[in-house]
Amino acid sequence: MALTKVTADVLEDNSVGSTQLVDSSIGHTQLHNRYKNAASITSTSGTINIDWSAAAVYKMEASLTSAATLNFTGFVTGQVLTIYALQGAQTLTLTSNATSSSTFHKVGGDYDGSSDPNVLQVECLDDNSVNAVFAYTIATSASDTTP
Amino acid sequence: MKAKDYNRTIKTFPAVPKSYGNIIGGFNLLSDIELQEYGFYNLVTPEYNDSIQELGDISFDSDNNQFVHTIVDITWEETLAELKAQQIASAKSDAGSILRTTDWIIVRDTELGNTTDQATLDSRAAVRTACDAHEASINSKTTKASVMSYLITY
Repeated sequence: MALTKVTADVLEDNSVGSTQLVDSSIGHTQLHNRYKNAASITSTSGTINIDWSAAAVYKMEASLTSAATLNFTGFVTGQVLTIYALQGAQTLTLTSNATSSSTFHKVGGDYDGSSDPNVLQVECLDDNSVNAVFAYTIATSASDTTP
Repeated sequence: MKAKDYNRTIKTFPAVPKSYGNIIGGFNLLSDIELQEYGFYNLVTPEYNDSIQELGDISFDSDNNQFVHTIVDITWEETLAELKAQQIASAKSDAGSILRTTDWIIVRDTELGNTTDQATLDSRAAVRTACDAHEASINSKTTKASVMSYLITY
């Protein structure tokens, strides 16, 4: 009997390479959630867990009401995460669930949530689960169509 | 003013930075007690006479959890006579500055043969008398510190 349809069960794990894919066949839809999804952050104080595997973009739904720590989990090397509408004149700390240390290289900017919303962009430079390394930039932002 | 010890090198901060370490903003909003957890302590400068004293090293006062400037006496390379000459020159310079403000009155009245207002003459005389008194006082000093701490006022 001839096979008319190949299901995933038939294929051996890790058996499909790039040559089996049609060029430009992988679109936004096929990407992992960590590269395409947008999500919301509703917590406004304390430790706020940010799962990098769930979304690439997070929007703060409300201003920080007291000191907050953004605790990153699920990150992978090379991934960039954007958090916007970050506001509130509070102390903001970055950390991750790396077991020993989390190093954050400041590329530029300080968080200043006293008036305008901020955009925070973080890139994971090393997803080592013991000593994770990140680089970040942060700046206030304003809606402007005439850059 | 805050200060922090970086491996025995004490760095001073006129203002608390907005960010520090993993804190990317609002570090300056932390309380003094919270800042101490990051090694930032108040820097206290005791009152001192900058004519004869200057700020020295900074040390940590563990009893009061603060950094403190030490105050040290200034040592002058000049001799006592040279310092007296400096102070007297300063006194005369100050007097000259005050007298210059009314010099034009004297020139005008001399040129035109006018009688100069007595109040002007009295105030100028008072300046000259004060300058002479300053010079005598400075010359009576026997130590460099007493010369340099002598206050010249008119």
